[in-house]
Amino acid sequence: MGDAQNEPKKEEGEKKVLHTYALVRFCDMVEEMRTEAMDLSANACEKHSTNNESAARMIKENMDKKFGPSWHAIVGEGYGFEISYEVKHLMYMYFGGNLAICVWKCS
Amino acid sequence: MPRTKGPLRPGTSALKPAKASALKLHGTQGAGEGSRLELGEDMETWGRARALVKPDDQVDLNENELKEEIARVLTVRTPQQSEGLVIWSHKDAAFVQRAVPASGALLLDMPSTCLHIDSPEAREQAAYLGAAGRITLAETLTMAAKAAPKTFKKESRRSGGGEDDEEEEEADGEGDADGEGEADGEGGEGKERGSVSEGAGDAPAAGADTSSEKPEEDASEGGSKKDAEGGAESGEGAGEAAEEGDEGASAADAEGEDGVAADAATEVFPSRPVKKVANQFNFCDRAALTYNNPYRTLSTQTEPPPRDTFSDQVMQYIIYDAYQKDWEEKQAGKEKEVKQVPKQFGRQAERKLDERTNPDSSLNRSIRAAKTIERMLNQNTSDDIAKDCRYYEDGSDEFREGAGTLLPLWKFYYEPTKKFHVTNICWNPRYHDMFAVTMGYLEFMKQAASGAVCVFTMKNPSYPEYVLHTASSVMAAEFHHEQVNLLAVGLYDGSVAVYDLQLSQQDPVFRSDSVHNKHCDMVWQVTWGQDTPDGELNLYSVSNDGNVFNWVLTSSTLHQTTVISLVLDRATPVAGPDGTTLTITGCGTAIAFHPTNPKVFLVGTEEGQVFKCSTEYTSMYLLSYSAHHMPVHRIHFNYFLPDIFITCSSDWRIKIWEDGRTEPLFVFDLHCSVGDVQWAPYSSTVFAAVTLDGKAHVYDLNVSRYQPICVQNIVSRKKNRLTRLAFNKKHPLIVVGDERGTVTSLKLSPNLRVKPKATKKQAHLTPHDLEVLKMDKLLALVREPFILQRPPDTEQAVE
Repeated sequence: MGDAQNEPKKEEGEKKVLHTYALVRFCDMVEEMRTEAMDLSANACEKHSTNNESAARMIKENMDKKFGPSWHAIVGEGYGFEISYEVKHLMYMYFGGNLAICVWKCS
Repeated sequence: MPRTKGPLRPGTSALKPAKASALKLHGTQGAGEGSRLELGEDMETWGRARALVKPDDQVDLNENELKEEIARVLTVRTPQQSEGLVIWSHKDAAFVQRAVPASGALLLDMPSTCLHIDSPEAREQAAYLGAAGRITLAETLTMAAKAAPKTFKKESRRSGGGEDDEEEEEADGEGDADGEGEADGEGGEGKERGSVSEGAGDAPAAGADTSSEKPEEDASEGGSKKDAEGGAESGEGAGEAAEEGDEGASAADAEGEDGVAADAATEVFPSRPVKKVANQFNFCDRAALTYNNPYRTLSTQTEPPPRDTFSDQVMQYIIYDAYQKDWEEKQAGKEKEVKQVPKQFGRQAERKLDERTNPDSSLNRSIRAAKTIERMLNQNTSDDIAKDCRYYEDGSDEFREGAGTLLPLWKFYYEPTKKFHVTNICWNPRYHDMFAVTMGYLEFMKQAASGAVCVFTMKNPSYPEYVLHTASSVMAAEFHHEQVNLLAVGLYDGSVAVYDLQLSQQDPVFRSDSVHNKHCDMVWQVTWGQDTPDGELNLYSVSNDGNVFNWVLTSSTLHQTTVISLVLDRATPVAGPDGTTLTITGCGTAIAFHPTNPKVFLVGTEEGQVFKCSTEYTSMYLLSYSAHHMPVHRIHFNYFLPDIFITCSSDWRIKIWEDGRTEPLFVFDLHCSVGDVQWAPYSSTVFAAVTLDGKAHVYDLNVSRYQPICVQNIVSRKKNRLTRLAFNKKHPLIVVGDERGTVTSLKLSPNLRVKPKATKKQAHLTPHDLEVLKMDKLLALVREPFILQRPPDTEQAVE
C-alpha cells in the first residue's frame, strides 16, 4: 500500500520539469514573419512578466509597426477564443510554461 | 517777414479774437506791396463809411503801440525739459551731448489705402470712376442719387469750414487775392452773397463777365477766379459758392435768395460725377464667378484578403500537456538521432574526421582544390554540351508524330578501364549527377584478374570522381537508398563488398569472407533490402550458384543467410551417379524487390524462369513464370503500378508481366539479344532497352504497342556492343554502357517523355494518378477476360 502511494509521487517528481521555451501550437506565417513574431512575443512576455496587458500591447504595437496594421494579440493563462484572421497571419504559441499567446492580423 | 510768421497766425488769431481789429493793421505791414496797401485803404474808406462799431471797453492805443508787434509763440517743446543732458562716452573719453528725447507721442500710425472723400486724390478718383461708372452702374447711380443730397450738403458744410482756413492761408501767400477773399468772409452781405452764389451756380464764365463790370461782384469774381487758379473742379467752386450763399442767406435772415441758393446747390449736384459712396471712404466691390470642374465618380472593388477562423481554448493543463508531449517528442527525436549514427562506422568516422581536421593532411586539401579547378575547366571546355543537356529540346519532334530521338551528350570513360565491359550502371539516389559504373567481363572464358568501379559525375566527364579497384571483375553495384555514400558491390569471384565513398580509401568497409562466407559463383546482382528492425543495413545478392543470400552489416562483418535456393524442379530430383539424387538449381541472374511489399521479390534465372519468392519462406516459390528461353538479364518493376514488371532476355524478347498472371501482357521482339531494360521513372508506359547490336530502343505503349518510338544506334555495330542502361531519376537522361568501358549519356527528346494531359473530368487527379490511369487503360485491352463456363446441357433441357 505504502509503495503504491510512493510511486505516483516519484513520477510526479520526475515530470515536474518546467518547460519555458516557446512552443508554437499553430502558425501559418511565412518563415521570416514567424521568427519575428516569436522573438517579439518572447521578449514582450519576459519584459512584462507581471502584466499581460502591457505585454499584449507591446506585441500588438510592434507587429503593427513591422508588418502594417491591424494586429491583435492575446496574452493570458486561461481563455477561450474564436477569431477570424487573414490567412498567413496567425500565430498561436505557448510561452514560459503557463502563457498562451495568440497573435493575428485582421484589418 | 510776413511769410515766416504766416503759419503762426491762426494760433494767434485763435488766442486773441478780441484783437481782431488789430488785423486791420496788416495793411500797413505789407506796405511794400501795392495791391495790399490799396486794399487796406479800401477797407479804411469802407470802414469809415460804415462808422465802425467799437466796444466800449476797447483800449485806446496810440500809433506806436499799435505798431508794436506782440509775438506769441506756441511750440511743441516742453519748457521743463532740460536740454543740457550729457552722457560719458568711453569712446571719446569725454562727455557728449545726449540727444533730446522726443517730446511727441505717436498714438496711431496707420498706413492705409483708403482715401478721405475730401482729399483731392479721392475727387480725382471719383471723377475718373464717375465717367465710366454712370453708364455701367445705373443702379449705383440711383442709389447714389438718393444718398447724394445729404452727403453733398454735409460735404459742402465741412468743406466750407475747411475752405475758410485755406482761404486765409492763401490770402497770406497771395496778397491781392487774399484781400478779396477776406472781404468775402468778413463782409457778410446777404445780397451780394446771393448774387455771387447765383453767378457761380450758373456759370463761372458768366461770373467772370459780370465781375469786369460791377465792382460789387469783384468778390465773386475773385472766388471764381481763385477756383480756376487753384485747378480745383468747378464743383468745388460751386459748392463753396453755395455754402457762402447759405451763410449769406442765414446772415440775411432768410431772404428770397436763400431758396435760389438751395436750388442752385441741388442743380449743381447732377452735374457732378456721382458714384456710390457707402461711407466717407472709397471702396470698390468686384465679384467673379468661375466655372467649377465637373465631377465624376469612379469606384473599384478588390477582393478582400482571404480569411479564416481559428479557435482554441487555453487552460493551464492544456499548456502543460502540450509541453509534455512536445518534450517527449523531442527526446524521442534525439534518441533516434543517436540511433541513426551507425555503430559500425564509429571507428572509420573518427579516422576520417582525423584526416579531414588534421592540418597536416595538406595533400587532401590540395586534392580538393585540384578537383574544383578540374571541374571548372571541364565546365568551360564542354560548355555547349552542358547547355544542351540543360536547355536543348529537339524541335523536330513536333513533326515526327510520336517518334523521338536521343541526343548524345558526354561520353564517360576511364583510360585504364577501357578494355573492360560495363557490367552495370547505377545512379545515386540523392545526387542526381552521380552514377557508378562497374567494370568487368561478360565473356567468361577470358577473365582478367582485376576489375573496377568508377563513380562518375556529370559535372566532370573527363575523369571519374572515385575509382575503386578490385581483385576480380565487378558484376553489380548499387547505392544505398538512405546512406548514399554506401555502395554495395557484387564480384565475379562470388563475394560481395560494401564501399564507403566518403572514405578516401580503396579498401571496402565490408567484405564477405573469401572462403566460407561467399557465393560459389559470380554474383549477378546485388540490391539493398529494407533495414532490419534493429536498424542494421542489409543487402541481397543473387548468384550463378542458384542461391539468394541476405547479408546483414553487423559491426565489423557481413553476416550471411541463405534466403532461397533456386531449385528448378523440387518434385523430381534428378538421379545422380551411384544411386544418389541431385536437385538441379537454376542460375540466378537478376533480382527485383516488389516496390510495395518488401518481403516479396522476383528472381530471374539463366534458364529463363522467373520465380516469385518471399523472404519468409526459404524453400518454396510463391509463383514461377516460364518467362524466357534464355538467361533473364533484368527484371524491373514499374514505378507507378507496383504489380507490373518487365523482363528482358537473350532470347531477343522483352516481356511485360502482371504479378500473379503467368502469361505476359506484352511481348516485344527486338531481333537481337537484349542486354537491359528499364521502366522510365517519369512515365508508366515508357521503357527503354539496349541490344547487343549497339541500339537503344525506347517504347511508349501509349503511343504504339507494337513499334518503338525511338531506335537509335549508339555505338558502332561491328566493334562494340551495348550492355546496360539506366534512367536518371530526375532529369530526362539515360546513360548507356558498352563493351569498351565507355558510358554514353543521352538526352531524351520531348516526344519520349510526353506527360498525359488531364481532361476536364480528370482535373482533380494528380499526375501520378493520371499515369496509373493511362497504363490501366492499356492493360485492360490486353488482359484476358474471365471466361464464363457454360453450364453443361442436360437432357431434360434439350427435351
